[in-house]
This record gives sequence, C-alpha cells and structure tokens, in this order.
Amino acid sequence: MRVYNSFIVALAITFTAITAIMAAYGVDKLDTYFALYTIALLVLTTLYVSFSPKARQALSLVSMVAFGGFTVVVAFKVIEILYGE
Amino acid sequence: MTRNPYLRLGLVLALSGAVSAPILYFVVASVALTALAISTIILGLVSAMLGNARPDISPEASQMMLRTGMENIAALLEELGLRTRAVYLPSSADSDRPRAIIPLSEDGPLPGTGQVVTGRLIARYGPNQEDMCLVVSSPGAVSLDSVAMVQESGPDQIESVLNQILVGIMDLADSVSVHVLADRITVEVAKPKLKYENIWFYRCLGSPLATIAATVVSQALNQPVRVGNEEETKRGARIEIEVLP
Repeated sequence: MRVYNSFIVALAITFTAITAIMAAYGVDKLDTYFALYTIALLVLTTLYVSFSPKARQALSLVSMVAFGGFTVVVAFKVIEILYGE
Repeated sequence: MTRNPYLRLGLVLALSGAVSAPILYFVVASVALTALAISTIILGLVSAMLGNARPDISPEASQMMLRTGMENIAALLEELGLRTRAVYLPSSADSDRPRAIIPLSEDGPLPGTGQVVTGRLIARYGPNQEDMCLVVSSPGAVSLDSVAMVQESGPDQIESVLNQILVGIMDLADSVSVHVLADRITVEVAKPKLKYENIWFYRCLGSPLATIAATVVSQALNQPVRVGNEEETKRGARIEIEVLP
C-alpha cells in the first residue's frame, strides 16, 4: 500500500506547511485555513492518478464534504461583502 | 479495534482532532493550532476512507492463489514440453478477455492481427491442421477488469494504464515508464515487488509483471505481442515487448 502511504504523508506535509506559512504571516481566520486545506486535498487527489477506482471513489466522498465546507465559507464571504458587517 | 491500519490511524486522527480543536480554539485561543487540529480531522477521514478502499482479500491469500494458478499452468507446460514463447492477443468482439496463446510447435506460424482464438484450452490458430496452441488467461488479462481501458487507444495510454494497475491497484511497483520504438516497446518498472525467476512458466509466458505489460500493450495497440526479454536493472526491471505484424 505504498501509494496510500505516500498520499497520506504528502497530505500531512502539505497541511503542516500551509499552517506554518499562514501562521508566520499572522493569518487568524479559520475559514482561510480551511479553504486552503480543501484546495490542497483536491489538487493532491487529482495528482495521484494511479489510485484504484475504489480508492478514488472513497476519496471523492471526503473531497465532496471538504468542498461543501469550502462552498459554505465562500458563501459567507460573499454575503459579508454584499451586505457588510 | 479494527485490524485495518489505515482505518485505525484514521479513527485516532479524526477523534484526536475533534477533541483538541474546541480546546485549542476556546481555551488556548490559537487559530493556527485549531487549524492544525482541523487538518488532522481531514487527514483522519482520508485515511479511514482509504482503509475502506483496501481489497477484502489479504495479500497472503492473493499470493497463494497466484502461486497455485502458476504452478498448475507450469505443470501443464512441462508435461507438454512447450518451450515456445506465448503470444498475447487482444480481446476480440466475441471474446470477453484478452488471451495468451502458446503454439505447440516452435516452427509454427505466428498469429497475425485480427487473429481470433476460441475459449477452449487447446485450439487451432493457423491455416494448417498442425497449427495448434494452448489458450490461457494470463494475470494481465484479469487485471484489466479493474481499469477502464479503451481498446486500440494507442501507445499513449499504455503508461497510464500500467501505472494504474501495477502502482495504484496491485501495489507491485513504485512507478512504470514506457518507451515506444517502432515494433518494440520497453517497459521500465521501478522497484518491482515480484522478481524474475528462471522457471518454465516465466520463460514461456513471462513474469506476472511482463504478462500484465504485454496484455496492456496488446490491448492498446490491438495487435498480437510477445515478451521479448526481461532483465533486472539498477532501478528495477526492464521488459521488452515485441509487437508482431
């Protein structure tokens, strides 16, 4: 299961790097972190072309949940911009 | 607790993330650490989902079945004294799977493009009465069931399909690269888990990796092929496949 291990390690490194960079820049909004995590997950899932159809189907479920959360974050941002605080 | 390590890791990560996120947000008041806890939950969900996608059959059971099948075919080949190299044919409209044929005579003609063989164990493949062959299903033919491969899709698809089968589904190698040179296709397999053995089965049909490569090439080009040569390299294994006219 080397391809699964490599995917999990790559995802963990990416998430840690995102958190470290964002923290260094002083970003203190959880929605920004979440949006970047979702994008990283979607990009890495797309890059791992050698996943079996079963694994891809399982990962697409997680991606859909993460993308749902990302859509909610974007929707809140749009409402905030349109109507102000 | 489950024996599946990915599911176990997923549960531990997701639960620890879910417990620590509110503590880090409300008590420690650190957004960065809370974000890290959220990323742990995502990582846990990914690991658990990958754990569910693992095949139900254990690697030990799969290895046992592969060895049994190989030993049975090897016994048949040895009993018949066959030394000719197998020719891999693409699946035709009336046969469900691509098959490999082993001509009974070393001097017999080679099957050409569009050659159709019956699903029987012993069949005639040439115009003459003595052009008889053994028809077998190779591990490569069965492996194609789990990928969506379009027949006659050309050489471009060979590398991606082989990576999908050998790296993604079967986890038999680290990566696969393919070089096409006219009627010869070279497949480089990095860090293969199955090594070449100088046994009758491998000399006739090729190693399991070679049979998978030959079947994929035959399907992609819609032409008969055979395993030309197999050698170990520094990176892993090099398989040469001859495309027959």
